[in-house]
Amino acid sequence: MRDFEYHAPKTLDEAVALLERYGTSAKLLAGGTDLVIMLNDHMVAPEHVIDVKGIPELSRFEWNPERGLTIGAAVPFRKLEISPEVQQHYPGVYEAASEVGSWQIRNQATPAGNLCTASPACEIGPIMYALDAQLQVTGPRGQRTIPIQEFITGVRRTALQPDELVIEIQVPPPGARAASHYIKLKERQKMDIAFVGVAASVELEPGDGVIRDARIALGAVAPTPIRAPAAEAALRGRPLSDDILEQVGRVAAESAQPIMDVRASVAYRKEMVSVLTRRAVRQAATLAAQR
Amino acid sequence: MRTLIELTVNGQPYPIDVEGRTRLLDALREKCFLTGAKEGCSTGDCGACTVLLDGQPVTSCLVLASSAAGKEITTIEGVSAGEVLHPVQQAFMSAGGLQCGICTPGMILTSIALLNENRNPTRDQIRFGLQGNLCRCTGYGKIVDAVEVAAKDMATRENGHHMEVKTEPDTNPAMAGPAQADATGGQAPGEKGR
Repeated sequence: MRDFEYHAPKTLDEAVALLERYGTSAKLLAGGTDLVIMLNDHMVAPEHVIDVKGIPELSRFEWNPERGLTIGAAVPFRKLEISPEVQQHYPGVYEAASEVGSWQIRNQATPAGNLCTASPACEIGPIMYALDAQLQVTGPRGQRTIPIQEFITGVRRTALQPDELVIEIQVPPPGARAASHYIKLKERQKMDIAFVGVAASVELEPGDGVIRDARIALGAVAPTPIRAPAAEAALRGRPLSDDILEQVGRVAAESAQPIMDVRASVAYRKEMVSVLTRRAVRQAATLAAQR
Repeated sequence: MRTLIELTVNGQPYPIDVEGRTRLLDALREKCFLTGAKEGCSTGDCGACTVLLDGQPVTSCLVLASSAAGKEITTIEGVSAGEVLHPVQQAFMSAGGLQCGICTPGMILTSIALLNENRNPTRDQIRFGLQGNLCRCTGYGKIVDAVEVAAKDMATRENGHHMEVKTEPDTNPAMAGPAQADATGGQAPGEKGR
């Protein structure tokens, strides 16, 4: 690993000033579980590393019925995993967070850092797409809000400028009869990367089982996490049935553009998108019906 | 660029000079001369370098030394009270929860953190807690046995038996209980326990 100068700003202003000064020669450090590996492997060789964990605003982790969930950029996955509010209001976020790495990794790695790394198999991506999350970022030109679908722009590419940093992820509050679910398909029980990840968020009409709204997002089957709009449309305004789930799964698989690699074939990944979409939608709808 | 930082390891201050790139693992081994944390994969997968940071297990190969300044670091060297072993260390010996021993410091530290959060874990919860500590000898059965033995032993000690192991936070931070557990209602990592 090439040496660098380590900075630990205590305020957002300080961090922005450092980014403005060093720009592309600096890398931001949150949990470090991606960055330190990349430094070790000489994939990146910054002259400056800016550790954002000491900035109080970035450790905000709050649930509020009007504003939803705020996840500061320095908040580790473990906080999400053990939060009663996350388990209650965002079961899909709980599932996704607790699937990440190991206890050690979840103590270090952050959802914001995971989104900034923007791997196609990004752990927290699909559920954040399914929940319409947005990112609050700041830089020398001030703050701006970026919807999650515009934040990740390609394989390991984001809309974040070299002089900007993420302050927090904002997840809107779920509707009255809404719930989410996430399923990660992997070879091992733990410490593995997703072949396919499927997240579903389903909202039911008051009083019955008709689906008012649904959002489905797929991970590891395209350069970025993607929504499956045709599958979502097939659910809207209809009660859940095996026939509809069959159709939704098939349509979702058509949205996927997976690659073949050492871990799985294209056909297998597509088939699994179909199966997991059915399961994730059914589970989200079941949880929503209990609300 | 070399800078002077101070690490707090096992309750002791260690003023050391590090580079920006110095990992906590290297600082502990090469600057503090605490070689209990082992380097296995260097990618956060194997858990051999596990130490506790403010009571919570982390892979010290992915933590920069400078990031750990100001935090309570616990290594395997800090869990016994002098010659008196921590109940988890004792249990790993009595249950035979080790073979070659490379994974053992990390296994014991993660187990201590687990038992601090959940005094009576199920076998599934123990496995879930230890998911980030790999044993290449594959001696998992007896490792899980050891954590069960330790849990029983610690429960017995807490129920009024003679305390052989010091539990003051200042001398034994591993036993102080993680701050995070208090803030979150002390849920076990084995909630999902599959």
